[in-house]
Amino acid sequence: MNNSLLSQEIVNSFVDCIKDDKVIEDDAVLERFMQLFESGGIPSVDDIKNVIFNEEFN
Amino acid sequence: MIKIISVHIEKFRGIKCLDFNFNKANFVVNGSNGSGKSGVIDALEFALTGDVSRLSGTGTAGISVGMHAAHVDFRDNKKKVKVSIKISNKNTGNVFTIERSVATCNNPKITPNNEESQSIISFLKEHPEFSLSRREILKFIVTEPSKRAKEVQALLKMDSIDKIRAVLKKLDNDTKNAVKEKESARETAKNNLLIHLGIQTININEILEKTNKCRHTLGLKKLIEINSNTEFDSGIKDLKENIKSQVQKEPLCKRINDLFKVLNMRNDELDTKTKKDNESLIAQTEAAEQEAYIEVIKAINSVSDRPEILKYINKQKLYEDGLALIIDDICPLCDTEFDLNKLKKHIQRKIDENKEAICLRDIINSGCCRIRTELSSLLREIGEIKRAAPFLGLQKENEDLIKLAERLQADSELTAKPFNNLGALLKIFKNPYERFNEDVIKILRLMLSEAQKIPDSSATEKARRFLTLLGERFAVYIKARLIEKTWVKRKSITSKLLSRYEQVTKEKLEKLYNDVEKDFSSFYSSINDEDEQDFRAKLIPSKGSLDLCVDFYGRGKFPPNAFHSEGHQDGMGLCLYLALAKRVMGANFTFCLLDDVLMSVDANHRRNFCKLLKEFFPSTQFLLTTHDKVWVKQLISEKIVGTKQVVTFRKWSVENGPSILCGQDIKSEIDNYLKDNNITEAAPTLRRYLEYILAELGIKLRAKVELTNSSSYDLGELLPAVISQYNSCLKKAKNAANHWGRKEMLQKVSSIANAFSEAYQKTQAEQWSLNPAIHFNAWENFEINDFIPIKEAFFNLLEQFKCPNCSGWIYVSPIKGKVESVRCDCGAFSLNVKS
Repeated sequence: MNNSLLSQEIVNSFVDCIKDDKVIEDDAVLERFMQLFESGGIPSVDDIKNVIFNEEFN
Repeated sequence: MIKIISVHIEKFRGIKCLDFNFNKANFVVNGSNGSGKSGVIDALEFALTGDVSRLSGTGTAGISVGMHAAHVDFRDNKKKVKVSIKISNKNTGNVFTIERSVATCNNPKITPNNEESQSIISFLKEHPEFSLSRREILKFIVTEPSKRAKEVQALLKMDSIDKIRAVLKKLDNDTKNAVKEKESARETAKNNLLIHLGIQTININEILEKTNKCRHTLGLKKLIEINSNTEFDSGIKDLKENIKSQVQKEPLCKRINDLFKVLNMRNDELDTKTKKDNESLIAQTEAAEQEAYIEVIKAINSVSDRPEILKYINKQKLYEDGLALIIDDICPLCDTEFDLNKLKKHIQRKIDENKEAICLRDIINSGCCRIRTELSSLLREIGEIKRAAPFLGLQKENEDLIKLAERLQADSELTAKPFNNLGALLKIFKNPYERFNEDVIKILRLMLSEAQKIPDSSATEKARRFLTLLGERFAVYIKARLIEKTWVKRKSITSKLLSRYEQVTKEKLEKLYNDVEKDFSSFYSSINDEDEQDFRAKLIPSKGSLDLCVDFYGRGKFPPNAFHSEGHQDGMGLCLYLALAKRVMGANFTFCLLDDVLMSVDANHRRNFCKLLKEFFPSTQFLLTTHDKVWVKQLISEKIVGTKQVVTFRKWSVENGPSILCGQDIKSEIDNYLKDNNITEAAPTLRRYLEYILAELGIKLRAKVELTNSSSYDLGELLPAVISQYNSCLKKAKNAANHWGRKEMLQKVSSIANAFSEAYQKTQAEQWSLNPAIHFNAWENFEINDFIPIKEAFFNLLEQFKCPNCSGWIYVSPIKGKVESVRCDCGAFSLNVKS
C-alpha cells in the first residue's frame, strides 16, 4: 500500500524538524537517517538503530 | 484529475466478461446481494492502482491481489485476467487507456505512454482513497478512538503514518528499556565497588585513603587523585622485579634460627619461651651426640695408635670380598688349582682372627654415616640461606657462604672414606661445626636482620589483591557508567524523534481534521436539513487516537454511535469520507467509487444525499453500487444518473458471472431453457422479468397500483395497472389530437393503440380471470408449444412501450401533477395528452 501525499508530507516535515532542531548532530548520520525515509517506505526499528546508534543491531 | 469513460473486465473476481460505458458520467450498478456488483468496483480500483482494497490492508491476512483477484477458474492463468479502462484527463481532455493484468499488475500497459499518463498513474497510486465501501464507513464511525484514527488513516490510505509512529514508539521503548538495563548494570557495578571498598557511598577521599594505605603496605607511591583512567595497582608489576620480593621472609628467618639452634647459638632475637625450649632441646641433643662421638673419637684414636689394626681394617674388605668371589677350585688370577674348602676356611680364619679391628671399624663407619647426614643437612640449609643473600644485597656474604658450603662438602666427602685421613676425621668428630666460625655467625646474623626487614607477605598479598580487585571493579563501574551515559543520550534522541513525529503529525492532522470537521458538519446538515441543520462535529486527534464527537439535537456532543441511529451513522460515515477525500484530493477529487454505502439510510435522507452530491460535488463522477431499487429510482429522479447510466445485475453464477437485466438476454435465456424442455425454469424467469419491467413501466407511466405492506407486487397487479394507464394515455392522446384537429397525429395514435391492443390480446391476459388454466400462475404446467406463443406475445407487448427510434422506454411527463405527454428520451415518440 502506498503512502498518501499527506503521509509523505508528514514524513517530510518530520525530517525537516529533525534537521532544524539538530536532534541528530552528526551530518553523516542525519543524511543516512533522511535516506531511510526518502524511498517512501517504512524503516524498521533496527534500520533506524543501525543508523542513529551507528551500530549493527541485527 | 480524471474521469472514467469505459471499462472492459475479463476473468476478474466474479466477472467473466463485462463492458461498461460510463461516458464520464455518474453510473449505478444495481443488483441483489451476491450479483457481482462489488466486482465492478474492485476491477476499477485494480485498473487504476494495481491494488484491490478488500484484498489488501487490515484484516486480509492470507489473501492477496496476486492470488485472489483472478476469477476462481483462472487462478492459474493470470495473464488472461485483465481489466482495461479508458480515462480522460479532466484538465486536458486527453484520453488514455490503462490495461492491467493480474500477472503483471504493477506494469500496466498505458496508451499513450507519456509524461501526462505517467503523472496520472502516479497520482492514482498515491490516492487509492477514491474507493469506499460500507464496511469501511462502519469501521471508522462505530469504533474506539484509537481504532478510529487507524481506520480513518486506512480509509485515506494513511496507514504508514501510524506505522512510522509505531516504529518510532518501539524504538523509544527499546531504548528506554536499554537505559533501565544499563542503570541496573551500573548500580550493580557500583555496589560491588562499594562492598569491596567497605564504604557506603562513592567518596573520592575515602577511596584515595583506602587505596594509599594498601599502596603504602606495598611500598608504592601514593595516588593524589582518582579519575576514570586511574590504575589503582600501578607499580605492582614493578614490585615483582624488586629482589627483596623474591625472598620469602618467614621461611628464611625460620631457616636461620633453626641453624642457630643446631649450632647451639643463643639468638637474642628469640623470645623467652623459645629460648627456654631451645636450651632444653640443645642440652638433650648435645648429651647424646657427645656420648656417641666420644666412642667414635676413642675408636679413631685406637686405630691411629695401632697401625696393624689399620692395616687389618684395610685388608678386611679384601678378605670379605674374596670369600664371596671364590666359587670354584682354580684361582682366577694365576690358574693355580687349590682346595676350595681349605681356602674358604683359611680366609674365614683371617677374617675372624681380629674381631677388635672389625668392631673399631664399625664404630667409626657408623659415626661417619651419622655425621655425614648432619653435614648434608647443614649443606642443604646453607644452600637455601646462601640463595637469599644476593636478593638481600649481601654479595660478599654470599661468597663467604659459598666457601663455607665447599668446606662442608669436603668434610662430608672425608667421612665417606674415613680411613684415608684419620687425623682430619678426628677433627671433624671433635668439632663438627668448626666451620661455623664467628665470621659465619656474623653473616647469618646480618642475613637474619635483613630478612626481618622484608614486609610481611600476608599483608602485602592482601594489599596486592585489594588493589587488583579494586582496579577491576572500578574499571567495570566506569565502563558501566559510560555505557549508561551513552544510552541515556540515545534515549534522548529517540524520545525527540518520537515527540517530533507526534508533534508534526498532530499539527498536520489537526489542520486536516479542522478543515474536515467543517465540511463534515456541513455535509451532514444538508442531508438532515429537516431536523439537524445546526449539527456540528468535532474531530480531536491525540497520539494515535482520534475522538469524534457529534452534536445530538443541541443536547451536547457525544460519540456518533451514542444516540444516532444506524442510518444516521451510515450518513455520517459517508459525509466524513467525502469531507476527508475533498481535503486530501481537493480539485482532483474528480471521481469516486461508492460500494453499497447507504444501505441503512432511509429514502428521504437519500434524496437529500443526492442533493449533496449535486451541490457539493458537481464535478465528481460517482460510480455507485447498490442492491436497493428505490435508491436507484431516486438517483434517476434526482438526475444524479440517467436511465442509460444504470445497469441491473439480475443474477450471478460462477461460470458466467453477473447477468445484466436486458430483454434480449432474458429472451435468449428463456429460449435456452425451452430448448432443454425446461419449462419449470423458463416460466418463472419470464414472470420475474415481466414483474421487474412492468414495475419500471408503472413508475414511468405513473400507473396506479393498490399499495401493499410489502411494497411487492406481482404480475397480476402490475400488468392491468400498466395496461390501463397506457390505454388511458392513448385515449387522451386521441382526444387531444381530435381537439387540436391534428389528423395525422390521430391516425398515428390510432395505429399505436390498435397495435397495442392486438399485442395485449395475444398475451391472453384479458382471459386470466375467466380461465384459470391460462393464468400466469399456471405457466409452469404448460406444454412447451403452448408456452412459446405466450412468451412471444409478452415480449411483443413490451416492445409497444419502447420508442421505435431510440428503443428507450416511454414515460409520461411530468413526473408529478397532471400528465401532459407520453414520450421517450430522444423525442421521436411524443404524444400530447393535454386537450
